[in-house]
Amino acid sequence: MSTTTGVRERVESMSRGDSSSETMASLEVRDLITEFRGRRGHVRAVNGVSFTVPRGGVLAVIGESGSGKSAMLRSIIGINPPSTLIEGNILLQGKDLLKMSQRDRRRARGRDISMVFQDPLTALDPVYTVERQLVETIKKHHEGISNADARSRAIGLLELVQIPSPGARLKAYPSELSGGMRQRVVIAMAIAGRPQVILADEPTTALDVTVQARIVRLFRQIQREVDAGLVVVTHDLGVAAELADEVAVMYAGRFVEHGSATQVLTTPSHPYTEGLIEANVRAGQDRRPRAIPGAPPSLKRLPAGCAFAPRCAYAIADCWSAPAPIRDTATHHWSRCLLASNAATSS
Amino acid sequence: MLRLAARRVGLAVPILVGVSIIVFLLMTILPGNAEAGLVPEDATPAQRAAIRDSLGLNDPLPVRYVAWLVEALRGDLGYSLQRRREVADLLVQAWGNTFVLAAVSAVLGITLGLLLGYVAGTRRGTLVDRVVSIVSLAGLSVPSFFVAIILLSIFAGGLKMFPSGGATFDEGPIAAIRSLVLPVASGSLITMAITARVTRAGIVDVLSADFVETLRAKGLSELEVRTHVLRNAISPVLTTSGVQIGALLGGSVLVETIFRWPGMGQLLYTAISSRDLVVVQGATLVIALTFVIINLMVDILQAAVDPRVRGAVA
Ligand SMILES: Nc1ncnc2c1ncn2[C@@H]1O[C@H](COP(=O)(O)OP(=O)(O)OP(=O)(O)O)[C@@H](O)[C@H]1O
Ligand code: SF4
Ligand SMILES: [Mg+2]
Repeated sequence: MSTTTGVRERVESMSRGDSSSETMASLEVRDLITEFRGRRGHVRAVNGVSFTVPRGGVLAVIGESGSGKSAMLRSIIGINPPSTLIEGNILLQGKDLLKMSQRDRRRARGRDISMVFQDPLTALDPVYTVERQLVETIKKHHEGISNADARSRAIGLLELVQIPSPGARLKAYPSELSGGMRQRVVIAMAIAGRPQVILADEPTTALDVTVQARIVRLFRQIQREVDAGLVVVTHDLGVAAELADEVAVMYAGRFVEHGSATQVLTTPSHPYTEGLIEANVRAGQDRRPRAIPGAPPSLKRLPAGCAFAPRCAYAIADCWSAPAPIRDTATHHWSRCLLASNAATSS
Repeated sequence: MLRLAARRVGLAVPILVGVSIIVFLLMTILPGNAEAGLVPEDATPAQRAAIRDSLGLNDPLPVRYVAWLVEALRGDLGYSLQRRREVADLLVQAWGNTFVLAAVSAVLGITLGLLLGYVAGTRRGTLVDRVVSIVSLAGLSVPSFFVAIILLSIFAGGLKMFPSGGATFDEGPIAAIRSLVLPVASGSLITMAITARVTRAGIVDVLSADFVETLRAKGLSELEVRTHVLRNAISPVLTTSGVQIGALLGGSVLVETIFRWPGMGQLLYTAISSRDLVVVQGATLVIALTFVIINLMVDILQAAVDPRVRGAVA
């Protein structure tokens, strides 16, 4: 959690242009809905999310546990259980992943779009060597490549993720590597197909604090190098500040605020974002995370009004009756709050 | 890998020595001693002592053990007075018969078990899964001798489709296969059931592991994903298969007796009932040896497929 201190200062000191409007979108998600259908009711984990990520751009998605961040990433890459209902559009370089055949979609996986998971301890197959797992991935995405070429590519990838003596590491099993090394291998695998978009689900959470910072830096570097769009889900606002051009805040399956990293993290316009930042700052000060009071609503039955109303200090009567509208608070910065651009934004 | 194999073989040696000591003591401690058949009923104590002396039975135990071991290693396990045959000859013949039965039962049971377990594990919660679970539970709970009796009364008694017993290898391949069907069916059932259960459990377990998502996310086909899953789930299957093969090679006393199959189980059974201790001793030694060797092979195989096992040993 050391990376969370001084979020605002660091964000402000960072000068990063808002280039999303000029570059072509490599990933465009429109009105994404993900509903886990079960016998005991349906869970709407993602409830109409839209965003675009340009090539080379980074979107960080923050939000409490259970807000649907992982469900969103899984829906995009397509590894949810078969019974899951998914609606909307997921456009990769203009082509809708949801309208593709199963086969084409599988082919896109890993090659056009890839994913890095939270826990490198369990993300790699324990009984295959690093070499086999990497070569297998490379061969999947480069048809007809020879074993020798695939192997030298694997070494190249390990070099790219800054693993020392990559030739020797190829022979290792995951259990023989440290957590940081494993996450580097996972990242190497994610870029093996030169994807246009990389999804990362809390890629540093499971790592040692000292290793976290290095992996974040590596991520930034790699993502620039392969010029891919990156969607990174994180609890850590410091990670978001360091990596992202844009930050989206997710609550109960919806984005409730979206804007440039600087805008969202320094001048939040949604009470929930404020709460998240407060919790993070306090966590940094007394080293004890303090959550926003109350709990998120059940995703099985969402309230009629603003989903945050039961926990919101600013809530007024109107908040309970109808869903909060989207309000622009600045250029490329909006908030799903009745009071946005009003007194609610105190910063 | 080779060093690990050598280490495992080295570990097996003390086990084998221990087994041989126990088997040796078995004969010397139990009543109805080895000389019993050689001494006339009306012998005087002096005559008895003389015979014991000439057989070396009055030497200290360690001396007798070493003498016995040397003979055993040279393939001489004694002479069965009851059967009027060399024990080694009896064992070779019985073990050969049991081996045929065990090998066919093991291959069939393990293959079917793997297949059923795989199908059930990858289709968890479906009708197929439930049917396999019930069948394998039944296979585990119904004793194989009971299955043997049922099969015998239906297919050999009522329908007369298969012979009711005996290994008839010298009457041509068809007769041999026919004579194998019923004993194999009852012998392989438990193996199949255990293998199916362990395979299913392993596959269900591995399928929920995080790395399976990584495999899917990197674009592997379902078949490729399942190859990974099977490789991960195979270790416990190997362990139980080893135990099953060991048990089958030991000879199932009940199944072999019911089908009059002249294997280790039947040999041991008749030897015990006629207090033929040299044969009991020899058979016990061979069965123990079989178990040790099977376990050794399983250990080495396991290390070959699973680096986690290798790490734990090395
Ligand atoms: N396969 C599933 N079936 C049913 N419900 C699910 C499934 N996967 C996730 N959910 C539910 O969907 C909601 C969102 O889960 P998700 O994992 O996306 O949250 P998250 O934002 O990633 O949380 P965290 O920060 O803890 O990872 C949760 O209420 C969860 O219980
Ligand atoms: S709409 Fe109302 S309840 Fe919802 S966040 Fe804004 S002020 Fe709070
Ligand atoms: Mg998650």
